[in-house]
Amino acid sequence: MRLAIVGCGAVGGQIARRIPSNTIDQLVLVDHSQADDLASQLGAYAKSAPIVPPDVDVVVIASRWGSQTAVARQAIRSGASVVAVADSMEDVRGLLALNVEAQERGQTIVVGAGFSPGLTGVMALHASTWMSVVDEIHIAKVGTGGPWCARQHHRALGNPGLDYRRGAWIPRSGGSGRELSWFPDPVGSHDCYRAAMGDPLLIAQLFPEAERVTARMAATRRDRLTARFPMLVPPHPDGGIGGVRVELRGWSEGRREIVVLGSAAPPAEASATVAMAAVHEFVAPTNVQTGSYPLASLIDPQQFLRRLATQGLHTERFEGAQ
Amino acid sequence: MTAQIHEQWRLILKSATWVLARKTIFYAMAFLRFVQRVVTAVTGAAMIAGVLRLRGQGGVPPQTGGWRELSGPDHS
Repeated sequence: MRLAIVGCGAVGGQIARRIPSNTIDQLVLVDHSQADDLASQLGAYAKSAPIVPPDVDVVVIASRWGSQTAVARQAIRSGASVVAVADSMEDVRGLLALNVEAQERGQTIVVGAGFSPGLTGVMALHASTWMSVVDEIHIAKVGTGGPWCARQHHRALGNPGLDYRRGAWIPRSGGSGRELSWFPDPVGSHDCYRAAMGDPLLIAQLFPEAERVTARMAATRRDRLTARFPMLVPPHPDGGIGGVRVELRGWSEGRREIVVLGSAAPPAEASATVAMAAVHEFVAPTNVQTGSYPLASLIDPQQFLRRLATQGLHTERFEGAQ
Repeated sequence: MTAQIHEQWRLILKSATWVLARKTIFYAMAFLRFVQRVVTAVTGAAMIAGVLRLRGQGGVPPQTGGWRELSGPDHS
């Protein structure tokens, strides 16, 4: 399999370094500034290129927000499937809109193969197997990966998010709706607010009959105050430890049930792990559908979580919530 | 003539005093009603809070639980 990685920043760089060289024939790195250095460190099987070459099988898109739809469209037109680590609402919407074209061309686009969205959807789908009816799904995340992830976090907080309520999309102001959320240790509790996140768009595809789907991100007072202004201070190269949390509310055997799953890890590292596991699905394809879908709808969630656990990304369940 | 003017002024002053007195009494009554309502509300709230506090057993924070890594049974 020939693999291309578009964007060699905090996430793309880790995927390139960590993907086992024996699972791929060739690795093509596409990045304006970092591809040459990274390719020279990796060895003969890796090379850099200014654009995605037409002969690759799978393209992993880990580039900055706003650019992923165009890259994915180009990739499927040149005959490659796509694993996109997309988290912005625009990218998720654009990638899902490529569904018909991907089906016509016999290619697959995995939308949201990161920490959030990505792992959140897989956890939600896994937790739903313990319930007979799922009414509500609430996602929360804390932390950022690389600098572009931090910029996207800043931007998302200043823009309206979307809540899914009984089949309708309701725009909600970014930075509103404070909710204290508990994440696995060592992250702990954080106040989370609505933001322009891609998660609800994908979770609603997985659970179209749910009554409510919401997504929130952790923010400080300063984050909320400055969210509508340009980012004046350059972000850190890596945001450190972060976490995601998925809360499902529904019914099980006639009783009201709440299931909370979470994971704590550096977001860039976790996103790279999830994207690598998604690529693995293409290395050993079982019955991959063509079209554009959320990651969770293309994999077996139990098996996928087990695979992530072997790679150091553990999922935890909160007990004592009832 | 002077007596007539004096009488007119006396009547004017008498009626003004009467009007002022009536208004003062009206506002005083309204203020007293407000104070009465506040005292009633605070007393009622204190009594309800007192009853709840006496009847309630108090909550015990969870002594077990927390985050637990998914294990074998969780994957079935």
